[in-house]
Amino acid sequence: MRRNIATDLILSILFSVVTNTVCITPPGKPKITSCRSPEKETFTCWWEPGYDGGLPTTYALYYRLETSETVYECSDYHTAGPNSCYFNKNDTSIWVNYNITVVATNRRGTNYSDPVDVDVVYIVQPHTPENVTVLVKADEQGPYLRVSWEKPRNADTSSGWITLVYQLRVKLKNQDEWEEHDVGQQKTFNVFSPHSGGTYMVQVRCKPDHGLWSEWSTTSYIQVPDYITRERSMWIIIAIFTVLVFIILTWILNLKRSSVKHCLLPPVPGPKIIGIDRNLLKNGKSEDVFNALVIPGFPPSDYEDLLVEYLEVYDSENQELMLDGKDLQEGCLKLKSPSDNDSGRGSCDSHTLLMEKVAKEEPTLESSQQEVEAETPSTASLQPEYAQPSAWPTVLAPDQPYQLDSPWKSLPDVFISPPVSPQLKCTTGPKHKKGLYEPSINGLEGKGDSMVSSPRTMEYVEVQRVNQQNVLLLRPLAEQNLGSHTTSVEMPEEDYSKVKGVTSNNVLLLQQEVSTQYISDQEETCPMMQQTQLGKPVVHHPPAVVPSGMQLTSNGYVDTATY
Amino acid sequence: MAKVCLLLPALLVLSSMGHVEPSENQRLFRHAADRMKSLHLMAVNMISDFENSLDFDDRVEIGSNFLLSNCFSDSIQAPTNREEIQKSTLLKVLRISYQLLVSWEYPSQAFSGTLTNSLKPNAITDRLTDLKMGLRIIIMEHLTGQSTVEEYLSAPAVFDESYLNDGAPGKIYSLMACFRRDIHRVETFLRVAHCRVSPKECLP
Repeated sequence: MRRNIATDLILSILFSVVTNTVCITPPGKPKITSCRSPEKETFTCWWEPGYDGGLPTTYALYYRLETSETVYECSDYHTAGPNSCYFNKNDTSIWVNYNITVVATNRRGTNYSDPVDVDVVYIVQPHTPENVTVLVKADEQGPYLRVSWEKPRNADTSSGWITLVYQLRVKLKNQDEWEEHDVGQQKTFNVFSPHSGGTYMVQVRCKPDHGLWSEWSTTSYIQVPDYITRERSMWIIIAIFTVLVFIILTWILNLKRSSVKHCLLPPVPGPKIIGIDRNLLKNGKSEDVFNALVIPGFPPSDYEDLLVEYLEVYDSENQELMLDGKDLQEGCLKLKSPSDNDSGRGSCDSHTLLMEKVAKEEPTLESSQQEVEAETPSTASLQPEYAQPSAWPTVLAPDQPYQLDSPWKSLPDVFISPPVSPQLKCTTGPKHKKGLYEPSINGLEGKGDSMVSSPRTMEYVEVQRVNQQNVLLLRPLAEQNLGSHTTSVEMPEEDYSKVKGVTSNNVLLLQQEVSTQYISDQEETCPMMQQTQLGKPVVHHPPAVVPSGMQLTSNGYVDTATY
Repeated sequence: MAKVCLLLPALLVLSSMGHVEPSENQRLFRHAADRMKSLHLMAVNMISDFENSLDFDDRVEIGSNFLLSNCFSDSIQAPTNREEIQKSTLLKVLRISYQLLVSWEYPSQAFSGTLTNSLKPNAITDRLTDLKMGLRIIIMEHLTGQSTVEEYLSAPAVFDESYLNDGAPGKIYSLMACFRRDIHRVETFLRVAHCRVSPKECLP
C-alpha cells in the first residue's frame, strides 16, 4: 500500500517536472502588424503575439522618437482593443519618425519584436464615408441615380489639415463586376441611364492626399422603377414614321407606276420611215413591206425629161468620121457629163488639160486639117490618122481597146454622128481626150482656114433616154432651144454637124468639116459614120458668118454657157 | 472729390509696390498649395526609385543608420501637430514655410543625379525657387510693416556641405527622407494657411 502511494507521488512529481520543462518557455516573438492614423492626429498600432511559452505573457510597446533617445511606453493598451497601442493627440507628433517595438514577457523570459519606423503622415487611413444615400431622380433627360455621402468623422477638412478624395463603385445586383468612379473632393455623384427595373448596389470610400484608402462603406441598395428611355422612344417613333412613309410612297408609286415608268424609262423613238408600216415589219411579210415602198406613179411617165445629162462631146478635127449605123452601136465615143470634169480619167483627161492640149496641138491640127481639106473632093474614106501619142496617157494607146475602165463606163457607148454631109470627113489628128468629137462640115471648107484657125467649139447634147440596147439617145441642146425636134443619138439615122454658131434668128450654124479624134478602135466606126452621114442630107447648112457676140470655143463649138 | 483724387495715386503707388488684390491673394495661396503637392509627389517617387536601385547590403545599412540620423532642418522650430499649427499665426506658418524652402534650395541639387522618368536634372531645385518667390509675395502682402521682409525671413537652416563628401548611399537616402518630410510640412502649412485665408474653398 505504501509502495503504491509513493510510486504515484514520485510519478506525479516527475510528470510535472517533465511537463514544465517542455511547455514553459519564454514567450514567442511578437510581430507588429500595422499602425494606422484615421485623422492624422492620433494613431494606433496592432501586434500579433507569439507563443506565450505556456506561461502568462505580457506585452508592452515601447517607442522612441527620431530626434531623441528617450524610450516611451505606450499609455493606452485598451482603447484600440487587445494587442494594440493607442497614441492620443498628445503622444502623436507629425513629421517625426516613431521607432516602435513590442516586448513580450513571461516568467521564463522576454522576447522583442522587430522594430518598426512609423511616420504618421504616411499611415493615415481615414474611416469610411458616412451617411451614404442613393436616390432616384428624374429630369428631362430621364431618370438617374444620385449618390451622396458625408465625410468620415474626425477628419478635419475644413482647416485644411487633411484633404480627402472619394471613390464610388456601383453595380447591378445580378452583376459580378463593380463599376468604379473617381469622384475627387466632391460628395455627390450621379449615375445616368440606369437600367429600367434594376436593383443597384452602391459603395463609397475615401483617401487622404498621401495616405491609404479607407474601407468600403456599407452597401446601399436602390430599386429603379420601370420606364422607357427617351432614346428608345425616339427610335420607336422614327421607325414607325419611316414605315408609314415607306408605305405611302409605295402606294403612290403603285398608282402612278405608268407615269413613273414613262419618266424614268422614256420610250425610245423608233425610226419612222414614211410608207413603212411597223405592223408589216412585225408580221414579217417583207413583200408587203417592199411593196409599200413603191410609190404609185413613180417614176413618172415622162421621166425621160428628168434624166438630164449634159454631155460634152469632144472629137479631134484630124480624124475623119465614118458613120455606120450598125457599127455605131458598137461603141465609139465616150460622152462626158459636163459636171464630171475629171472623173477617174486622170489629169490628162481634165477639161483644163484638154484645152491646153488643144491649144498645143492646134497648129498641128490646122496643118492636118488643111491636108484633109485638100483631099476633100476625092477623099471618100476616112483614113484615121493618129497623131503622135506621146502626149496622151497610156490609156489612150492605139493598141488598147476603146472601152477603158473609167467612171464613164457606166454610160453606154454612144455614137454621135456629125451633121450629114457627103463630104464629111472624120479626121484624126492629135488625139484629144477619148471621145472627143469635133465634127466639121465640108461646106465650111472655103472658110475652113478661118474656121480651122478659130478655136473649136463644143456641142452640148442632152441625154433623152436610154434604149434597150443601152444606147443613149441624145438630143442637142441647141435644137431643143430652137424648139426643133429632137434628134436621137442613133448614129445611123441622124446627121450631126459641128455647130459653128447660132444666128440671131436662133439658127445653128454648122460646120461641114468634120474633125474627129478616134483611137484605133474607132477607125472602123469612123468611116462608117462618115458613110452614114454622107448618105443623108444636111439638116442645116451653116452659114459662114458667125454672129457677133458669139463665143466659140477652141474646138469650134458654141459654148452655150455664153447665152 | 479731393479725397478721391488723393486715393487714386495712393492706389497706384500700392499697386506699383506689389499690392495684390484679395482674389489674387487667394489664387496665389491655392497655386502654392497645388505646386507643393506636386513637389511632394516628386520627392516620394524619387526616394522610392532610390530604394529600388539599392542592393541588399545597402538596404541593411540604411535601416541601421536611419534610426540615428537627424535632419539638418531640425533647427527650424516648426509645429508638429494640428494643435500647434492652429495656435500659430499665419505669418509664422508662412515664415517657417519660406525658411524650409530656402534651406533646401542648395542641398536639392544633390538629387539631380538620382531623378528619373524624364525629369530634368534640376527640376526639384527649380520648383523650390519658384515656390520661394511666390511665397515671398504672399508674405509681403501680410506684413503689417513691423519689420522688413529680409529681417522677417532670416535665419534659415544651414546645410553642411561635407555631409555628402563620401557619397554613402545611407547618407543620400537620409537626405532624401528629410527632404520628403520637409516638403510635406510646407504643403500642409500652406494648405492650412489657404483655408484660413479662404474658408469657402475648404468647406467640410
